[in-house]
Amino acid sequence: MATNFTTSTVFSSYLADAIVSHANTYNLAASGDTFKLALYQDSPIYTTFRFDTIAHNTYNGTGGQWVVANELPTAGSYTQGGYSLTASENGVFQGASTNSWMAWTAGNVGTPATGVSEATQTLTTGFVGCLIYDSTTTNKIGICAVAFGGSYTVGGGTLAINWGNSPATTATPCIFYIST
Amino acid sequence: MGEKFSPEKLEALRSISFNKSGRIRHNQAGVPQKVVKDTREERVTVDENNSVYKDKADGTQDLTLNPKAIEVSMKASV
Repeated sequence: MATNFTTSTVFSSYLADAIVSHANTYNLAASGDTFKLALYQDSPIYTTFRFDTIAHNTYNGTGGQWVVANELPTAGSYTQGGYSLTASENGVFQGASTNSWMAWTAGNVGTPATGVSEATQTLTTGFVGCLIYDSTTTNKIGICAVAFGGSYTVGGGTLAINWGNSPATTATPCIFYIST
Repeated sequence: MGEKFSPEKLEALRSISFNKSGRIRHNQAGVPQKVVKDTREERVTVDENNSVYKDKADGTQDLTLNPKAIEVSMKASV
């Protein structure tokens, strides 16, 4: 069981920038920015990265939790920096009638299933979660962290990550959703 | 006369899976993974995080993670 990277979160630093300060531009829509998913060992500390600064919550941000020393090493089929998610399959969804929520996903929305699928993966170092970051932004700003609940490896087969569902009324697969 | 297993112990024994070297596989919480399919072609186990391991006859192993969507709750304040 993970002891540091225990909980998923959307970074408050990202939300504050995207909604309030607008210091950076993020295009979460289909064929917008390219997002990446990097895998981490149980080193990033949830209670630190949850409210950390935007400078720290970037991929390999100096002084932050997402430095390459905490990431899975480049070995087997993994290369530091992580997997590129398919930009054409990004998606922003919104409640049709009430506008009471919006949801965002990235990656292979349609096939297979509703998330990430990488074939022929040999990952022998245990990983407990991932950072999803906007690799189009200059500083590779982190959007959110997803904890998997335990330490996992992959033995030469397919690594698939299926995102969960947004509010049940539409059951849209997404990484996160904002409710009011 | 041999020991009688309780229903709870029998259920626990049924839920234990073995990896290729014959050892019991536990999830990270120390709980054995539940076997949901066990054939000559593949053995499928699920842990408490709803993560699925599939050990295949060709010796490779798939992993499917099913993390829950993250809810961000924004409450209006006036």
